[in-house]
Amino acid sequence: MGVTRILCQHVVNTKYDDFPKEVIEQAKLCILNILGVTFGGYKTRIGQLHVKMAKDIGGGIPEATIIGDGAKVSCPLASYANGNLAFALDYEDMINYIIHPGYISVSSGLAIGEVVKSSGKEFITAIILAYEIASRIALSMQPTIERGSKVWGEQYTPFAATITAGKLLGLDEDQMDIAFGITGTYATVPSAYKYFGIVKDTRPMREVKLGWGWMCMAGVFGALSAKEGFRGGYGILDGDEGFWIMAGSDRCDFDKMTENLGNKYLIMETEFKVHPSIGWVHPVYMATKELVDKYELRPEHIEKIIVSGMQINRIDDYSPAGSVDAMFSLPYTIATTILREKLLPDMYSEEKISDPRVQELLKKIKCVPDPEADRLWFEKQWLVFTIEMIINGGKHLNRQIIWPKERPTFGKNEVKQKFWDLANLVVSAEQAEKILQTVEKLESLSDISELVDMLY
Amino acid sequence: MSITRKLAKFAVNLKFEDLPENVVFQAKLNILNILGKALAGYKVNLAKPYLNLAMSIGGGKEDATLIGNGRKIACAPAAFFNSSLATMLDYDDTLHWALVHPGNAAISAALATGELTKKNGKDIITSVVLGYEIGGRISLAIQPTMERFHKVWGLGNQAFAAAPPAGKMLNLTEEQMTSTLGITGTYAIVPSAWKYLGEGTRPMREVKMGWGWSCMVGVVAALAAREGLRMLQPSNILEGEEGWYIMHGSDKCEFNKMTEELGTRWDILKTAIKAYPACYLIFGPCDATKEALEKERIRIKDIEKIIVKGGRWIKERLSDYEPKGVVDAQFSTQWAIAMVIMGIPPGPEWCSEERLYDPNARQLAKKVILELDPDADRAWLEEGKSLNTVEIFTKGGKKVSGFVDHPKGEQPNPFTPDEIRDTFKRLAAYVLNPMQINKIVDMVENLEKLKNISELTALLSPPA
Repeated sequence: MGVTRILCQHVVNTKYDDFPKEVIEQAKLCILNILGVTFGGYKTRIGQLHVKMAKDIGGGIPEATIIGDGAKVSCPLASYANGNLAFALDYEDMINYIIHPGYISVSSGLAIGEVVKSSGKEFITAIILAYEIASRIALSMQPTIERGSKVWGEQYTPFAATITAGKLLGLDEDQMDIAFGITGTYATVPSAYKYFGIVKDTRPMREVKLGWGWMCMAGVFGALSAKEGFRGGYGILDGDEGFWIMAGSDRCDFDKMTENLGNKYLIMETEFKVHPSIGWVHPVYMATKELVDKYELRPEHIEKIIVSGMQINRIDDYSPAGSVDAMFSLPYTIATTILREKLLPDMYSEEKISDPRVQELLKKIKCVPDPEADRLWFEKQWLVFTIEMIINGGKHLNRQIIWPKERPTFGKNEVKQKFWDLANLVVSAEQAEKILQTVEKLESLSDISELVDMLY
Repeated sequence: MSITRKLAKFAVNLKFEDLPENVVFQAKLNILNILGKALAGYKVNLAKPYLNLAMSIGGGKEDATLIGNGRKIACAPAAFFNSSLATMLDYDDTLHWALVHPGNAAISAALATGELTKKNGKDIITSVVLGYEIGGRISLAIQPTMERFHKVWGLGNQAFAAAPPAGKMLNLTEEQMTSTLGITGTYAIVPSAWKYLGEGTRPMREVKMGWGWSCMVGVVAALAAREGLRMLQPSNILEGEEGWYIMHGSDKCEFNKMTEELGTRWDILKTAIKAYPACYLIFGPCDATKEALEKERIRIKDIEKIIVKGGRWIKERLSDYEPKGVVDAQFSTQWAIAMVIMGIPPGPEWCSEERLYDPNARQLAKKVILELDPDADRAWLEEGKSLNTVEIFTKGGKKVSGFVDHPKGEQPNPFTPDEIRDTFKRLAAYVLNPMQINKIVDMVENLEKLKNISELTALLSPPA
C-alpha cells in the first residue's frame, strides 16, 4: 500500500476517542489562537479586500460565515476569506517553521462544519488529523539545502484543508485518496522566494502573500470534488513522480510520513506565534523586548543598532512600503518593539509605518549577514541572531539569541491573552468571553454553528 | 522594465486595430472551435459534477453564462465550468506542440469576464489573442531540458493564457495587469503531468490537468488585482533565477522568448485544432489508421491484429486496453484506434458510458498491439513530428499500413475554415437546434460587429 493510501486510511479511521486528553486540550488552544488572529486579520486592509472578493464571487449562497464580518457566502469562498483573514497578520502558528497548519485547518473546518453541522468532537478530530498528516507530509519532503536555497514553498499546505474538509464531509478511504489527488493537482507552485525574496528585488511585497486563502479553498475544493463523484488520480504522494517533485523538492523520506502514526502527535509541537510577523524575526523581537524592559530604553536613548543573523538579506527592509513589507522587515520589528507598540493590526497601519518616530528609529538600525547563522538555519533550523545596541554615551548592549533553545513558553495563558486582545477589536468583551468558554468545552458542542454564530 | 511588466503593458495597450486581418480571422475560428468542443463536452457525464461544483462556488451571482446550461453564475466559476467543458473531451486546441492549450483558458476567461463588463466582439477577439500570445510565449520560454522533462513536467502555464484576457476585459491598468500576472503565478498549479499520464495512473484522475481550475486562477488573479491586491516588486513573477520557470519545475528559462516579437509575430496563427477527442499524441496513429483503411476496405470482423508503432509515450503512457472511464478512454491509443476503425464520429460518443461497455469496441481495442519506435519521442519533442506507423493484419493474411508524420490539425496539415465550421455544426447539434447553430456561426464570423458579448453567450444553451 502506498503512503497516500496509508495516510488516507488513518484519517478516515481515526476517532475522537483515540486521542489522549492533552492532545485534545492542545487542539482547543490551537483553535482559540486561530480565532483570535482571524479577528485581528479582519481589521487589516488586505483582509478587507479578500472579504470583498469572497462576497463578490460567493455571495448569494448563505452557507458559511465570514469570521468578523458575519456575512454568509458559499463554502469554498468562506474558506478563502477566513483562510486569508487568519493569515493577514502573520500571527498564526507553525510547526518547525515549514508549515502553518492552524490557519488552514480551522478556516476550512469552520466553513465545512457549518454546512454539514459537525459536532465539536468531530471538529476537534478533523483539526488534530490535519495538523498531524499535513505536517508529516511537510516534514518528509523538505529539500536538500542546495535545492531549498533555489526554490521553496509550502505546497503541501492545502492537504491540511483537504483532511479537515474530507473528514467532516465523511469521505471514505477511496474518496479521501481521490481528494488528495485533486488537491495535489490544484496545489500552488513554490513561490516563497518571489515573496520574501531578496529585499531589493521583492519589495513592495505581494499582498496575496503565499496565497494562503487560495490554498485553503483549493484543499476544500479537492474534498468537495471527491464528494461530488470525481474519480481517479490515486496515490498523489507516492513514488518518483509524486507530489514532492511536483512541489519543487529534490527528495522525499516516505517512511517519515507514516512512522509512528497514531502514537505521536505533532500538534503538541505547535509553536504559537509570539509576534505578528514572519517567524524568523521573533527571536529578535524577544531579545529587543528584553533589552528595552531591562534597561528601560526609550527611542531617544538609541544611537545605533546592529543586528546580524540568518537569511538577513531577505528581511533587512529599512523602508517598508506597506503592511506586508512591515511584517517581513526585521528593522520594523525592532523599531516598533522599542516604541512598545501593542501587537495589534494598528502597528501596521499606514500612519504607523510613516510615523516619524518609527522612521527615525529605522535609520539607526543596520543589518549584517552571518554565514554561520545561515548554516545553522539550513542544517538545524536554528534561528540565531545577535543584536548590539549602542545607547546614549556610547554604551554597548549585546545579546545573542538562539531559538529553539531560548524560545519562551507561549502556553495557555499567553494564547488566551492574545485571543482576548484581538477578539476585542471585533466583538464585545462579553462575547469574547463566551467564545473562550465555548472553545474550552468544544467537545460538548453538538453543532459547530453555535460557535460560528459568535464569531462576528 | 521587467518582463512581467512588458507583457502587462502589451496586454493593456493592445487594440483591435493592431491585429492583422489573418489574426482576427484565426481568433474567430478558434473561438468557434472551442465553443463547439465545449457544447459537445456538455454531453459527457462529468459535466454534471462540474456544474454542481461551479454552482457551489458562485451560484448566487449572475455575472456570466454557463455554456450548454444557460444559467448565469459568478464569473470566476463560470470560467472554471466553461473551460472544464472545453477540455472535457480533450478535443480543444494546442500551441507549440501541445506545450499549452490556450483556447479553453483564453476563450472561457474572456467570455466570463467580458459578459460581466458588457464587452463587445472586438474586445473579445483582442483579449483572446492576448491569451494565445502571452500564455504561449511563457510556455515556450520555460520548457525544461529533456532530462528534467522526464522527471517532472506540467501545464501550470495555462493560467497565463487566462489571466491577460480576464484582465483586459476587466479594464485593468498596467499596474493592475502586472499584479494580475504576479498573482496568477502565485496561485498557478504545480506540474503534475506524470501523476496524470504516468505509470500506474489508471484509472486516470477525472479532473485531468486541472484545466478549469487553471482558467479560474487567471480570472481570480485579475479580480484580485482589480480589487486592489498588489504585486509590483521590481523582480516580478517571471524574472530571474527565482522566477516562474523554477517554481514550475523547470531547469532552464529562455527569458527572451517571453517577449520576443510581441506585437509583430502572432503565434495564434500556429494553433493546432484538435482532430480527435483524445490525447494529442494519439492523433498520428488515428490518422495512420484512417489512411490504411482508405487504401483498402477491411471488415472489422476480419481484423486479426493492429500494430501501432510509436514512442515511449504511446507504448507506456498512452496504453490502456480496458479504459474504465471517459478520461482513460481519451488517453488510450487502443481505444482511439478502435473508435476510428468502427467509424464512430469524434465527439462524446467516443466515451459515452454505453460505448465504454460495448463488447465489440472492447474486443477491437484488445487487438491493438503497441510497439516501440525508439526515434519517435525525439522526433516529437525536437521536430514536432508524430512518426506513427499503423499496420492492420487480417485473418486471411492481408496487411494494409498507413503512416503520417503530421497528423491533421497540425501546422503543415491544418483544418480548413470550412472543416472547422462543419465540425462546430456537428458538435453543437448535440445540444442546440439548427437555427441557433447557424446564428452562432454567423455571429462568430462577424464577431467584430457584435455590440455586446451577451448576445453570443445567450445562444450557447438550448432555448428555455
